[in-house]
Amino acid sequence: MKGSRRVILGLAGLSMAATLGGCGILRGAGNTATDLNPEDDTYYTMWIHSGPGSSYYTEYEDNPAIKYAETMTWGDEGKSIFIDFVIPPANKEPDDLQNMYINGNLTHILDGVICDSADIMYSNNRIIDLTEYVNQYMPNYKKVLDTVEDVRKSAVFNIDGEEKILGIVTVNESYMDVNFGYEYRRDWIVKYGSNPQTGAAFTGGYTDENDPDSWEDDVVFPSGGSDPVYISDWEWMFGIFETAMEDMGIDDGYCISMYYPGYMWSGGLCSSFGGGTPMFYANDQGQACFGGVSDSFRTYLECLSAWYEKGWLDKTFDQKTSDAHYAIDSAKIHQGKIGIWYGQQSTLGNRIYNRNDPSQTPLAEGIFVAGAPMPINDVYGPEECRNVIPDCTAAGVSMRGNPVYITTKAVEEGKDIGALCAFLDYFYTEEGAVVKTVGLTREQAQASGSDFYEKNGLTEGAYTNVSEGDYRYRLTDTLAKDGGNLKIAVCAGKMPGIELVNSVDRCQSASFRASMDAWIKYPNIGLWNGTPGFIIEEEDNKAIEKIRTKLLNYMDAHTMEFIKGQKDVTDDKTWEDWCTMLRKQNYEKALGLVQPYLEKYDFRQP
Amino acid sequence: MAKKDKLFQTPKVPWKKDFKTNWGVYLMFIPIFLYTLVLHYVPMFGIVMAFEDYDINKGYFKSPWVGMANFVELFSGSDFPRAIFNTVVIALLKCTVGFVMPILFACLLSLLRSKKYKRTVQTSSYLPNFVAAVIVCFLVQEFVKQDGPITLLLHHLFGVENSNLLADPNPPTFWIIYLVMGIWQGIGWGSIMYVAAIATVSGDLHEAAAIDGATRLQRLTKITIPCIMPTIVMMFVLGIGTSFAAGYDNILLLYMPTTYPVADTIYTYTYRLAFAAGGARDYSLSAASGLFQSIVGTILLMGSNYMSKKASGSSLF
Amino acid sequence: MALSWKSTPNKKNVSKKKHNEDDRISTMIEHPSVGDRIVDVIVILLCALVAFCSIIPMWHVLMSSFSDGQALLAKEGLVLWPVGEFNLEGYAHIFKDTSIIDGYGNTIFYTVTSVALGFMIAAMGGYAISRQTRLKTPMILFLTATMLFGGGMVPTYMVINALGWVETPLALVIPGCTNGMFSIMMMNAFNSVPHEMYEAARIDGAGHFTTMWKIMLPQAMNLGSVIILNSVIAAWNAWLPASIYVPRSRHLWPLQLVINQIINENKDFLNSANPDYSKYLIQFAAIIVAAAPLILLFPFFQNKLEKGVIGGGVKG
Repeated sequence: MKGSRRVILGLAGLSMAATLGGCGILRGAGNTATDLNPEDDTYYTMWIHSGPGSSYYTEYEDNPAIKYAETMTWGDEGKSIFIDFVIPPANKEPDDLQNMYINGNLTHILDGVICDSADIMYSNNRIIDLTEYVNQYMPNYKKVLDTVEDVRKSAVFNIDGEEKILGIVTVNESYMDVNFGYEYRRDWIVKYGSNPQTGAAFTGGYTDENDPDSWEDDVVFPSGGSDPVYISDWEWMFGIFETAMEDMGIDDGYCISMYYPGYMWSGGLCSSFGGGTPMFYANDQGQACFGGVSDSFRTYLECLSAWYEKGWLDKTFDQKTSDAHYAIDSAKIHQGKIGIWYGQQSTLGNRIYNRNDPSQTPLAEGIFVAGAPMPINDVYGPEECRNVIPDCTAAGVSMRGNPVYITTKAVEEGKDIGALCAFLDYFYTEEGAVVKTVGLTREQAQASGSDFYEKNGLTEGAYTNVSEGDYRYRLTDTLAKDGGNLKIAVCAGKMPGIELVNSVDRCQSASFRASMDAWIKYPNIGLWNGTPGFIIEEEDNKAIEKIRTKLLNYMDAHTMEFIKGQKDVTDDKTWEDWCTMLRKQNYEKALGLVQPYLEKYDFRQP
Repeated sequence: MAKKDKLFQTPKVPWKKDFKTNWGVYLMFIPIFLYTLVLHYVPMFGIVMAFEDYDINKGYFKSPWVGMANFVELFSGSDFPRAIFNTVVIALLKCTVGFVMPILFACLLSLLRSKKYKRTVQTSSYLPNFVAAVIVCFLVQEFVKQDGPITLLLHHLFGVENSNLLADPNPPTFWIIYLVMGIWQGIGWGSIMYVAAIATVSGDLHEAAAIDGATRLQRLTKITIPCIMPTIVMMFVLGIGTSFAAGYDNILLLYMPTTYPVADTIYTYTYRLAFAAGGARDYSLSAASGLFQSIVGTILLMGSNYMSKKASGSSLF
Repeated sequence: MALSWKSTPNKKNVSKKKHNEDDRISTMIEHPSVGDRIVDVIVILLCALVAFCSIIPMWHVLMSSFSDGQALLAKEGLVLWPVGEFNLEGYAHIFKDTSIIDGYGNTIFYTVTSVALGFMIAAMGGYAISRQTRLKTPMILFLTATMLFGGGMVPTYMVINALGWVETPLALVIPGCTNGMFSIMMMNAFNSVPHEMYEAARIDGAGHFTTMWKIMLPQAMNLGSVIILNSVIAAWNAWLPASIYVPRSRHLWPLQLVINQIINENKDFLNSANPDYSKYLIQFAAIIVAAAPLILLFPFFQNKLEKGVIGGGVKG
């Protein structure tokens, strides 16, 4: 009884405390802009995805780079503008968008990451035609539209025979780095391998114990270079990995991990065997193709089943259903038991090795992990599946970034669209692009009226100007070494504009840079899913998706039978049965539906 | 209690008289009536989605009407029979073994003499309820994988092959794992209801029985269980009604193509059809599946209510 | 076990006044037989087994939350003891965000108000359907149907939007505060109250609400506390409604949504050349942070659950 009374008292106290102190309900919203009137014609709302993490600021209005840009004046009348950012809870963006449609409270500016395509939104009277505004207020963006075909494709739409600019699209300076790719244990090759030409042992090691990337070696692959290029290089590595695992007493490791259920619909390793994906893609003739019945996929399966048979492939790959594609068997990778895997930046170099407590990762001592480009098949299948460059990979789709739209709501509420466009155009200038992508200089940070830079140890600003090769800007030390979201927090990344990529020196060491470059070696040109501006009309799209789902369902359930040798992929009769089953799902209809769009879009003409 | 129910069955009185005597009772029903009407019944217009080709841009009222097409698509899939079969099997297991376990646990608790110990056990038994399902599934996977503790235990005790039990496509391995996982997660929480019901059992009855020389086990079966029977019946009827429609989402984390033949349920089957990786989401199809499951649930609820009325004389309505 | 057994006779004198009913069952048999003792041992062991199995997941989470992030990443299977160096960085990440305090406050507010409101509604409804009226069965069916059929999230949003509750605390207090099942459970609870008590109160001229509130409810409070406990847990853990109904009003976010946001903002920490491994601990620490207040509340509820009908009978 005493106990319960104490609990009641405690609860009452807690409620009181909550009500008086912490409870946000009674305190009301922390209004950051009390002196601004939402009715002003230069007060805009903008819908964006989650910001840089509430550990820096919960309101994106507090972003120093945005604050800096807002200190300037824009448009014919030289107005200063203010943007009120609206951020839905993380992962709830689609629901939030749908709710905005329902209650009619669209924001004035929409981040187009998950919106419908621009022409659908335009025909539903949700967004406005920006042609006039771009011509009048956005000379820099106009220049981009005129010069970068990719951007033009996703910003300009033909509406009833008239060319209209509907979106303000971010343009990348070059292919962006990707976060994922194949990685392999290069230290094992040095330790257990030998030069395929001379038979001499390899030498190599870290030059600086404290730098996870300072690795140097003299490894030569059978194809002659210092990096793996072909499937035969990979198989050569597998042999070495087997020796290594035996020597180190690893009995539950394997040479290469494979994502469940044995293939990736968006391409993955399958693209290495003659191009394409196991699902839909456009070939080099601009023809829509279905990969599930292609020779590429068959060769891919032949290779994987050979690897499985030889014990190189993860024997339980088909049981790892709860692993995301890119986090395969994470625990074993972090223990250092696997030879090649599809992994993240954080497992490169010797980052797996636990420096604070080496006893946690005994197998990772002296580890060096390097990024590998997609391999090219030179071992399996027919001639036309060999020596073909992979075309459906994880690397950047194009130069396009996210589009931003201005809604009809902005016009209805009499907002000054001209001033807004002039403001957005700033990020297409060199100076604005730096503010968007890199951050502020010391002077700009001071002018912004935000103490963010000082607080986070960036008194010298975010970058220094340099002139070394492509590099024009170099991140300051604090920023380059940050492992969190500081890089995102210091710049106005949510704005459309020019995304600087290769002119920014992010102070990455040579071997890390090499891994990044390996991952984007073969750009993705064949996969149309996710290509901004490539729009299939709703009705056709639904029909295609239905077929795609059925195909995926069948392939998810049965692909592994080939890999595990329960069915013989080299047997023509078996393969024909497989193809028949897939044909039954009517993929030809889907291809027929896509083809006109590919031609209209001019997708990948030879 | 069952007897009392019959006692309550008053003969039908004329409507006018009923309202005259019971208007106060009906007044008490108004808050929940309004609440349910506005927040549950009005939104039920959303069910039309199951008969439409729903398009977010057009909304509920303008999306094209497709009649039964979604249902046809759902029922015509080659995997549908197997999904139905597995759903029925798992629902049956949940309604029998899964249903009895919390009652047994509550009875066990009532047999404990030490109050402190009882509280400790009870509090511990609630804990799994607060751990995300993903983590419980992760632990299940770790326990039954090759060389996992449970796999090894079964291997040494019964000579079960030492391999990932979750990958075993033969019945009833997956069903048992899923059932045990459900019990693991829910036994403590599920028993609260019965612990409370047991507490209402009059101590006088127990005392009288004890004086007559009844052992505790005898008192459990002769006094406690009959006294909490109405609660058991209520939970059973409600449980059957919802058994078909709810509680299958964790299978998504545990099954794999190898075990589809035993693990694929209506929920997972629909999920794969409606929410394929990297594709558009087919809300209409999932709404159709949900409606189908609700209808089956209703039939089961009515059926079990009728059965329990026939068998034990007490029923939900 | 033996200890508790021996102490029983003493306890009888001291505690009978206080916990007369609680201890009655355990005190009334003075001379346990051998069979009784065997039953005791089996019961105690079985309960220990259940308790042990039940602790495992929470223990795993707790120990993971104290682990070293990088070491934990390389750990397979159950975490029995902190992996690597003991640390609290996961908690530090969560509490670095000051909105977590707001979150606690808001959650307490939503929980208290919505449980109070919901329980009133459910109790009144349960009382109504427990009486013998001609509309009894239709009323029960009316409530039961809501357990099986629902319109889904979007139509519910449309209704709440039409009511003007979006971006207000009302949207988190009223919808979801109760449900048909709770009313049916309350009906069951009222059914088990001796009919004589109801008759007596009615003959004394008490209105239906007074009868329910003063006479019936105290008798039904043990099942009532089950419902309250369930509502408390549901209200405490709910974050989906907040993410739909008050997405823009961060000052209205409950604890779980704040935590959910922190987890989501940090989940890509491995896509970095300088990963902060301690972010891996956030998901584990979050479970502890969210569940701890509730676990501390249990003893209070257990008291209620075990008290049975006695308190009410005296008051009545």
